[in-house]
Amino acid sequence: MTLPNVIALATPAFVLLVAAEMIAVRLGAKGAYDWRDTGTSLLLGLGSTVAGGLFGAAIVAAYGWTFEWRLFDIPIAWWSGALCFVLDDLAYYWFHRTAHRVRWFWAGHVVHHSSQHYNLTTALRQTWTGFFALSFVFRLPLFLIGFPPALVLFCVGLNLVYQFWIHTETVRRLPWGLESILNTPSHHRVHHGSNPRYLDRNFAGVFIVWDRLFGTFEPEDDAEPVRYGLVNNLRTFNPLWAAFHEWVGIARDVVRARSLREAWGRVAGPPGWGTPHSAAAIRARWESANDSQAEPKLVGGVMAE
Amino acid sequence: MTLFAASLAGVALLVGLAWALGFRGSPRLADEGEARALADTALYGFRADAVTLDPDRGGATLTGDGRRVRIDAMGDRWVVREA
Ligand SMILES: [Zn+2]
Ligand SMILES: [Zn+2]
Repeated sequence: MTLPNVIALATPAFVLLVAAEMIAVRLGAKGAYDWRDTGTSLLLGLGSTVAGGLFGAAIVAAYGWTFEWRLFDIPIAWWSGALCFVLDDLAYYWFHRTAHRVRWFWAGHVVHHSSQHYNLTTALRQTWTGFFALSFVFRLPLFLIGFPPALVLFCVGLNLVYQFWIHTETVRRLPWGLESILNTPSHHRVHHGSNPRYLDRNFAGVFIVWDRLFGTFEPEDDAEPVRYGLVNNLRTFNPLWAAFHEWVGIARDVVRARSLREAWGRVAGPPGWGTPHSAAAIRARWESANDSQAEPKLVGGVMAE
Repeated sequence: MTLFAASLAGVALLVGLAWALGFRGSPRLADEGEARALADTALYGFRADAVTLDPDRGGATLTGDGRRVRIDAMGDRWVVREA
């Protein structure tokens, strides 16, 4: 049984949906575009497929090798596909959380967050250096369990395709309680925010359940519009700089480090380690500023924290 | 290779569409207050003592508590960085 390459199949739809969103925004739908930002995002997306072609074989080989050590023989079937999809999404959550908390992984992932816009092209703004950032290791447990590589790659593709459509401001909230189960445009807008309240929140791929379970969930507050982008935003649209700038930053900081401990912190610590610009430091300042002026407010008859 | 060329054409098409739809603004600072507010928010708390708007209001230089801050346009957005 061969499973389709879902990303290749979906690409024409991506192009059409981006065009449709642009026109909708022009006609007054919520959202924003800038032609230069669009160019950077799309070139990063195109480059990431090239990088995938270059390093994909090595990654698939690592998957195949790990699969040799599997615990179970799992057939490709609807039930194993469903289970694989859920477990791959859990692996994605931990990859993504680590990608925000460890600078080595962040150097690959930062690319996805380097736009100050949030539209469907932002979804395509993907890393070129995921292989070096070792993002594939988070998926290895799936092969150890015994999910066939072809099935896992199919689920990975589905997961990525799902995450495309949530990069939009045109959709405010989903109906029917879906906001409590799925990662949605609203939840993922929060994830792309640089507001202290929103930093390092909502790491979910498809199911927001993981963030609720592991304590990283933050709902979008309509009273606090999301400021998209990085704590330190880029000053150029050059896709090469967007793709590699954090690696350059790591190299520079390691060379300048005055001790092994400092060098290690700059590589394996959170982004901004040892400076006032780490997410934890920014949140802590924001929380203490809030505490000093906070009065409990009455929300819907219930005392809010 | 043809796939790569087709993708590049797709990129050009969408960038061209964004340009044609008029998504190519460059922002202007209304006044010093806007510059102060931008720097305060982007740097998570920065009180400027002095603000110098660029003549075309397409950027500004701010100073305060021993820091020097630049605001520059980045497409239709602002970038605030310590200079
Ligand atoms: Zn992220
Ligand atoms: Zn995203």
